[in-house]
Amino acid sequence: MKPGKSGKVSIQNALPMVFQYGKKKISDQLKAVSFIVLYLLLFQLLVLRIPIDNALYAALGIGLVVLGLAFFLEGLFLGIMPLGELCGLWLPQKTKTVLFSLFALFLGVVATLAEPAISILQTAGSSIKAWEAPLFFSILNRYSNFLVLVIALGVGIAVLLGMLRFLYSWPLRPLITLLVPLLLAYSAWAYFDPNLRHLYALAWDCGGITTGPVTVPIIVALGLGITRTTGKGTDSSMSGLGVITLASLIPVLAVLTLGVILNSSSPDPTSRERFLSKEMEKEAVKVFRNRDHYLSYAVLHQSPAETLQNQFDGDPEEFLSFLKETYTNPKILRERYPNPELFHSWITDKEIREDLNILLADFDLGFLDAPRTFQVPPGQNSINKLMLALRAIIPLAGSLILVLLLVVKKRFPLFDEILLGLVFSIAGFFLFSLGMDSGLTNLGSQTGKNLHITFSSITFPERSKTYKKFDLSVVYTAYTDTGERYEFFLIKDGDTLKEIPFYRERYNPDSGEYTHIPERGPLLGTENRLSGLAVLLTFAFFLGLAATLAEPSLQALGVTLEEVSAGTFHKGYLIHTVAIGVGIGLIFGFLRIVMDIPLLWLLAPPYLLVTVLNFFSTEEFIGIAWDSAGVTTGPVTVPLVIALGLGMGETLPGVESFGILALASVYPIAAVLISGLFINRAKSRVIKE
Amino acid sequence: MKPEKLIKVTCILSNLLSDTFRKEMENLGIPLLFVQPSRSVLLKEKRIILDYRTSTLLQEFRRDIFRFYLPKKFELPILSHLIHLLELNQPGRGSIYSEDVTLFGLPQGIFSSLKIPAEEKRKVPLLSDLVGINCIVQRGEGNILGRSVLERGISVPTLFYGRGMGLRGKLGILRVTISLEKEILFLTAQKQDSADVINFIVHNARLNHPGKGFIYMFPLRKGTMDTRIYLGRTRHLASMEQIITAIDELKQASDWRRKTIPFASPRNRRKRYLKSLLNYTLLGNEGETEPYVKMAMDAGAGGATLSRLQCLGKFSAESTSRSAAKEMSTLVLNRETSNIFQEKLENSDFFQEGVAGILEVSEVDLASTYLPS
Repeated sequence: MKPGKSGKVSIQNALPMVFQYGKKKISDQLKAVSFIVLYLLLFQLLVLRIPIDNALYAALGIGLVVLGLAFFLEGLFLGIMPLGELCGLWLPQKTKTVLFSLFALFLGVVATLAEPAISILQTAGSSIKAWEAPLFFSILNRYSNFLVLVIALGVGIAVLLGMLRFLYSWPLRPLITLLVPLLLAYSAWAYFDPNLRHLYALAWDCGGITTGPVTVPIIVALGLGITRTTGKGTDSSMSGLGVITLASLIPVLAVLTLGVILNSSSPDPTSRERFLSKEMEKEAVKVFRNRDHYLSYAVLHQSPAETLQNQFDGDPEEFLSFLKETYTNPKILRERYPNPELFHSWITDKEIREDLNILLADFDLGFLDAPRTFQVPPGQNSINKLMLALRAIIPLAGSLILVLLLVVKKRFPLFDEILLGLVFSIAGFFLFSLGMDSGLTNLGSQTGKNLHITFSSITFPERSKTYKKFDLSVVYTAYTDTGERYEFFLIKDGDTLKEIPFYRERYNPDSGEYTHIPERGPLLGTENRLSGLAVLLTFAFFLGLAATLAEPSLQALGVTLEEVSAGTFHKGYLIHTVAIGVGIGLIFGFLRIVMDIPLLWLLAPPYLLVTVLNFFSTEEFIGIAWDSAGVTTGPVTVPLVIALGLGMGETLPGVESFGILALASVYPIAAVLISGLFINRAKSRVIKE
Repeated sequence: MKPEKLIKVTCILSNLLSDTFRKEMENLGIPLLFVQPSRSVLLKEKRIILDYRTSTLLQEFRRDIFRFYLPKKFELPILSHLIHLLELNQPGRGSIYSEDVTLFGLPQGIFSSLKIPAEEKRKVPLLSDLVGINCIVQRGEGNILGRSVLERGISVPTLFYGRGMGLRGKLGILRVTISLEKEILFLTAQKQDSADVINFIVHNARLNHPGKGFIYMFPLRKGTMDTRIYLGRTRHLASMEQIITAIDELKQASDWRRKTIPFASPRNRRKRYLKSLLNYTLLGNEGETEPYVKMAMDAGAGGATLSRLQCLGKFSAESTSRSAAKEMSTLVLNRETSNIFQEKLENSDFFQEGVAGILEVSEVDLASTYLPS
């Protein structure tokens, strides 16, 4: 054999290589994401038959999501996971167990603080009113920093326990058997306290959200690295798992405990009027970040007259200056309303405007006529997303690199690949978050708002049309099956005649105008609400399925498992099994929203089932099942589910959208465990025959 | 550095038997035990439409590959003992075989606590006419090749993952654009059929095309063969595999089942094999062997394959500074130029504590790959 030629590759030769490489990675992600995109599009267009708003914007967003995922995943495999593995390989050898445990704790805390889960929780929690669940509200607002710290501590303890488990070969099954019933019992107790009732749903959702797309690969890789050095235990190659499980369960405990601690200092649930009344002000303010936040909230949730009386002591000048400041000063606006759109839509509402005109008649309200854009300038949004990406990755990766350099003092193998991987991850995360907002989440919330058309009717006030000089003589009357009168008239739309229903109350005799607001009835007709519900739940199932197929952390876990099992455990098999589990979980989640079933009734049975299934499964599969469930509620599924839940919650008032993620996290466990039982049966058949 | 001539035993086991095996290794006092995850593939009969039709699927099973070293006098007793204990003469449980190797870098006196097990009463079916074949292909192609091997009735292939090391030094950061993931397919064959088997695989996997892979054959001393190629319904009181195993045991050889594999394509009659080669395996702490592989490449190796494995065993457990995470880089070198490499390696820090390296050298009968004409 001749010695190989060495030398630099020219740009000419390099470009096709880079192109081929990029093409493969992007097409893989395109395949993964295409399901969910096509599904949402087709469902909205064909089943709901409602056109997509801002289609081009959405399409661009989706393109960014695909690109972002491709970069991010590649970055995971090149940089982030090798870093985690190196830590797992070298640290236990070089440091004492105590130091290593502290490092594990630190890692868990940093990982949680780095990933922006709290804003997701706040968005999801926005449907709960402050007076319905003051404790819940205060935890998400006033004590939000505490919440994050408590969750971070929970994850830190989980990582610590997980790493110790590897070093001392503790089995996973007893840990789960201990934790799950404890958590369920704790939740049941919380359910019976009116203030804690909403909190336990938040706690379980926190568990699902915490392990994000950067944390998971690092922890899995770290665990793998450690188990390779110990070489102990049965199926030791598989037992690098289990930390994610703990990181999904222990934070539930932490949040519930936080709730219990804060319960005594929190006001009890009460009515809206009482909560926002002047007498309650001192108590009520405790629930908000500060008095300003309290005022801002009150403004949106009362009539202007009530606000003037309760919060501003009947002083119109103070009230006016509050409104004027908020409207004209973008900085103040953003502080008071992190989502400025809420204030904007309130203050431009016709009825509110009329009320304000009456109440503040002595003052000049001209400033309200000045057009104001409440949109974030495009550059600002991108910068925010970039900061998010940097924040998600640099602290974690940086800590790992620092620790490795300080403690191990060895030359880094493949350092250039690791750096490239980090750059890819940051770029990928940035592009992905940018694209999610305008792409998938946008689609998702549109579908969510329109979703309840499956079993009820919705109106489209934004598409209303006013017919001036309306002549009543064009109105026809027909009789329905039940003998009622149905009035309608015809309009010529292009070449066809369209029928528009006529409602007396929408005709204004003084101005001679008729306002038509398009309405779409229940999808399968008013007699078939149950079938409509079935359509909704089927939608939920396939949504969960399709969204899971795109999850990056699940793909990373699948590849790792395939590698470690020398190919016997296929990545596709894991992803599909988990996807089915998530689909089933979403069915129950949506059922919960529509029928307002308490979360505990839907959560306890599956968790008890899987705890029992543990006893029939091998340690290997327990680790895989529980970890993949913790992994699955990631950056694709979570925003979608929350957007859909919120969208539906808007149209079904008084219902909370919490708990769907918790449900979506438990059924995959059952799916993987059950399929594991079949696999193990087939395996042992070979050597027994 | 003083070379030690030893026997290397490789045992490929269903992972359900791994625990039993590990415990036995501890009992016997085996100092160094290397383990690597792998899979075997079998043909499985699947009945469709209520038994009307059957199709054959490829089924994968998890296997663990154990490797350890022994002085020659322990070879037969330990092999027999393990075959009896694990019932390796039964189809579907795994296989075991031994090779001659020369080792450098083994710590002194590590075999002192090795125990000779009691002699087994029953004779074991140890075949002496086997060869080992290693075939390195691109990842994803292992199953395809494995299936054709099974359908030819050659033997049960075992597959594991590795990474190609050849391109690393040459491309710089651009190496990330090329997938270096490989699959290594290992199988045993009867000596008499070996040439035909090599030809068959070269033709089937198109190894004579650039970038498709590499195959080499090496001699085995003794071993068993797993005869369970096919998983399906048995219509008789004994399965074909049981009959084959029984006859192998009676005859203590497998030449009675020699096949002439008809070979169609005239193209490959030109047998361009590489000969006069040695197989070098560098075992060291994970992440440490790459610089030494580069040395080998400079000495003329066409490429190397890196696989990760774990090192267990009494000796490993007692030394706390060693971690169980190891890697194995396998490469093939020309006999003439190999001395240069060996010298360089001995003068480097490969055998020092940082790498904790062990060098294993063994014979290669022949090899084949794409050779530019």
